[in-house]
Amino acid sequence: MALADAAASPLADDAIPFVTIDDVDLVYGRDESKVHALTGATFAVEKGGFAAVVGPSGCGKSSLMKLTTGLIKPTKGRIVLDGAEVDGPVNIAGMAFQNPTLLPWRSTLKNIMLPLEIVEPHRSRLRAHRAEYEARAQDLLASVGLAGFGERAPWELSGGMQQRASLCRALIHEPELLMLDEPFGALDAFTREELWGVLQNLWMERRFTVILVTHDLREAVYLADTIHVMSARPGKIVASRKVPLDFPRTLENTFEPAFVDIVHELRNHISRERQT
Amino acid sequence: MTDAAEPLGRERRRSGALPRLLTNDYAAPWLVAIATLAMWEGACRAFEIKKYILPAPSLIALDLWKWRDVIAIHAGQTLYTTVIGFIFAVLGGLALGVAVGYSRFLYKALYPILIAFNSVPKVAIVPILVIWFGIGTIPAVITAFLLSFFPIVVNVAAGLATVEPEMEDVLRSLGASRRDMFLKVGLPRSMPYFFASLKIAITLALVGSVISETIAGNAGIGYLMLNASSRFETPLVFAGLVVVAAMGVAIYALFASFENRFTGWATRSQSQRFEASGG
Repeated sequence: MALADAAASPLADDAIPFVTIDDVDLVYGRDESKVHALTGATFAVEKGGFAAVVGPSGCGKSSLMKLTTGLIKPTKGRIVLDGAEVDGPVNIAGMAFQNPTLLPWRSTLKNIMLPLEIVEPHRSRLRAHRAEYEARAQDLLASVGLAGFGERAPWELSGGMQQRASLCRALIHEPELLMLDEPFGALDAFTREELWGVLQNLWMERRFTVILVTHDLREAVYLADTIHVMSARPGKIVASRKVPLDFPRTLENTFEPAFVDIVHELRNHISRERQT
Repeated sequence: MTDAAEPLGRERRRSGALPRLLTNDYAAPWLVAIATLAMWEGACRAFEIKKYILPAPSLIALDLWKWRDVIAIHAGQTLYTTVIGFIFAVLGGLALGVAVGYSRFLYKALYPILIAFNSVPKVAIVPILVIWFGIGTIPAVITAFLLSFFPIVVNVAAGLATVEPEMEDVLRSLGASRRDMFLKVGLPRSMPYFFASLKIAITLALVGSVISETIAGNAGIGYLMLNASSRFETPLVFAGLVVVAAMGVAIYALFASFENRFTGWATRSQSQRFEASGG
């Protein structure tokens, strides 16, 4: 079944895709006010892969996130996640957004543990195994450089620290798929680059599958193994490109010609899309 | 040049003892109040104003002391109807606010009616209450309830309705039910709105009680004031006013302290956000 999907997908090579987005259309509203957000969007992400989706603003990148996690349904086409067609909210995904959306009445640690209170099997185990789960959350905090900040209220943390905590919350229930919607968009350049490293380490350690939506081309090239370029609305994938650089990548790499060339090439795709 | 000189001058003026007292946040309102009373007292004496037109503060204080037992009984009655009406308003307001904020259907069905209802001057309802329940405690409790009910409903509903869409996405993508979202996010999020509405609601409940007492009372501060007014005992009318004002301030302060205690995170995160945007 999964093999057949892989064969049908034009983008997959030998690897079995973990996420397949197959000829997806998305139309908002009806009649006059109809908006074509996506048209014939097609791509696949293999298990443990890191895909970035870049494109001009308003091209339906965020719709893609909601479609993949089953928060909205496509008008046409289908989305297959881990061998099963997406039909309603999935629970193997973690999400993080530009806005960290931490709950101000909970400590940072309690914020991070929120998914455990919702997702099974953790939900029913949480009460009895609280200490074990708290230790897990503390470890995760430490791995993003927030050791010792668990008891702080989220509003006592800086923007970058809040975003780190938001990443922890997206990962605490060990999801197989991490969906990131411009997670570092609101941060200053230095903090952003620092968090690229944090995210890359987490990914290399745990090898979950990532779909990152961003408009920062350097970010996409730094983090992803495959980059998909979307056109302006109605969004479709106009180019897909592997990033043949070795992991782990460092900030030094971002100044090397191989890296800069890829950024340049993507940049040309985007400006062509913006003109049409 | 003048711009630069201005703050310097202000700095220098602060060095005196009295100006320092004036700029102190806590002392300033007291000083203003005392100065106003002194001017009032002075004006009454200087222009020999008749005491049934405008009694001097000293006369009001004397009457307040003279009638303290009677005033205490009536104040107790007013406080009683206020608190009972307020308790019903909290229970009903919280329940209806949650219902309206939780269900889009109920929101659409009830919100316009609530707005229409709130536009009716509640004084106009008191005569109807008198027909149904006679004069006394019951119309006062109901008027207090009617006045304080609305802000609680609106605030709780607003808190529930303004959950960030990203937060909803995070929870829904985890497979959270509507009940989960309500208990984990909606309800705690609406608590600052709820507590903020309580201090407004309790003062409105007091207004409602006093209104009802002046129209259809046989006890309470409102009744006492109306009675004293009809006998031209103006100092006693003012004494009643002082008591109502003191009660209003006290209950407001009480609920403001509750708000601070239970949902301090909301105001602190607010100030933090302002600092962050400033920097």
